[in-house]
Amino acid sequence: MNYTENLSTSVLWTIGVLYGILSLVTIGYFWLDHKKKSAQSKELITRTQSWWFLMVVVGLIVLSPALIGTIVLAYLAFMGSRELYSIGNLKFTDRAAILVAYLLIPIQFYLAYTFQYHWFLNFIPMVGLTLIPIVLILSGYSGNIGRSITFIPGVLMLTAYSFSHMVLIYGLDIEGYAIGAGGILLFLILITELNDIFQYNWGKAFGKHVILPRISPNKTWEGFLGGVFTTTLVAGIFHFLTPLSFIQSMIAGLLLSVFGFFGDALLSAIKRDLKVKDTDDLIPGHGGVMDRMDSLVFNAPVFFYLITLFTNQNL
Amino acid sequence: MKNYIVYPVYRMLLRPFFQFLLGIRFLNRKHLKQTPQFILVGNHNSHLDSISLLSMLNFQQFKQTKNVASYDYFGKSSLTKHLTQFWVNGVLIQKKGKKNDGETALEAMDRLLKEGKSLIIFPEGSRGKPGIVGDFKHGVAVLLKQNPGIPFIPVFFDGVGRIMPRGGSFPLPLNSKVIIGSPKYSKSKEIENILEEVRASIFELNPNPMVNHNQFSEEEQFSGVVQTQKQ
Repeated sequence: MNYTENLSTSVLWTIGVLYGILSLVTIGYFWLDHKKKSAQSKELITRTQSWWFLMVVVGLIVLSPALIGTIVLAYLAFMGSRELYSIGNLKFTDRAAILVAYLLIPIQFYLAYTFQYHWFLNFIPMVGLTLIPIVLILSGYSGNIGRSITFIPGVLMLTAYSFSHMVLIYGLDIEGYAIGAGGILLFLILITELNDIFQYNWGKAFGKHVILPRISPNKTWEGFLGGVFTTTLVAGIFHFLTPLSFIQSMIAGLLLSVFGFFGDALLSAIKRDLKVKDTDDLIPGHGGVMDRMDSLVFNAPVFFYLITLFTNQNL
Repeated sequence: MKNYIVYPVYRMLLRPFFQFLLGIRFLNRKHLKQTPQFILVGNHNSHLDSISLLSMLNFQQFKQTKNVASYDYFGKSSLTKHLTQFWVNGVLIQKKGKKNDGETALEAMDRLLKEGKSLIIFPEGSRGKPGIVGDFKHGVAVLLKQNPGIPFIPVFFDGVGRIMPRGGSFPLPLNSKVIIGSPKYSKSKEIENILEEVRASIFELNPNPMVNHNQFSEEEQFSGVVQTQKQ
């Protein structure tokens, strides 16, 4: 899909509106800070700075040519896996295996960028899951090797394998759809992010019955169901960004909402197990890369396969 | 001349490599920029410690900063001696008792400070046991007492030792922090008090270092998870 030529006005408009809202919020907060200096307004300003940083990254993924988007996503996957390996309580003897895991990330994204679909699908599940255990065995230490054998490739599945599905979208060629990959990617990121916000706010307003008390005490049935309902409707409205019809778009919204919840809960469970609050403190007010991209862990592959299903792609 | 070759390598290659690939984050770099002459003191766990600090300096500071290294370790062969002196601004210092060209280790460091040089000193001496802060040698306190006009800058390395621990043959990207404190002039006259002040100002930079929740035995752990209990 030649995508810079086709970059459509609807994507530009949506991005433009998002930047506009953020600009208004920023101006508002600075005005508030100017009027009444307080620690709270300082906090709000650092949060908006973080949002600007995130929006620039989203803009790069959505608006720039496929190569730059691929590099950005690959680097995000690398940062995400680096965070998880950093908090993952791994051993000295795991070092070589982790290095191998890092080296597999650019290859996985290269396979996605060149759309070698067969290799793309098998690379980390096959090569990763043979090579990493072999390296672990060669490092000559058996203590807790079961944990290392699963955790090290598992992190790759959650980061590189998952996020590289977004790169595949750059390579899709969908008949009768002129907006380009930017529209599909924007829909995915926007709906996932909005779903986070909806579930959080529904939970905050009406939350009573906790779903997973021992994993994430903030997640309630009220928040989850309210979020799913709102996201499904909003996803229908944004169907103009995608090749999907209104109803198909709502189904996508429903699935993104549910799997976004599971991605979020999965990362919460991992963090709780490792007794850390956030994976990193890179982005003030948000935590690390994986704290922000947790809902995308399942959403990226789910949405890719949904798109290919609805548009009858022959992969 | 040497600096015109070495500094660009630090500035163009090593600094981005440390920050963007290895995942070292330098916090409060402004404290370094403001001070012309200083003694950098930090907890020590990795060869990367001093190299990462050097990569953060500007050209003027880089020219003036010397890295205090042990002759016993880096002077073993003429190759390591050369590499240390050329690439990491090293001055090789004999340990206590032995003489370097007629002066003791402390006299040599004192002379460098009087010449206007800045020093990077790890008071623990060696990289020590992974993740455990060893005893501070009092040399740095003596230097601070003899040069009251020169501030010390405390630096806390949190997790840098995990990137390239003792025995590791390659650097492994892992998130870590180098926290730089504000320059301080020691007020006390007693060597013990100055040393305690230096020690305290290093550890107050990060009251909650990456907490060690490791269920593995000590030998299995990644090194570099700093334990701050007093010894």
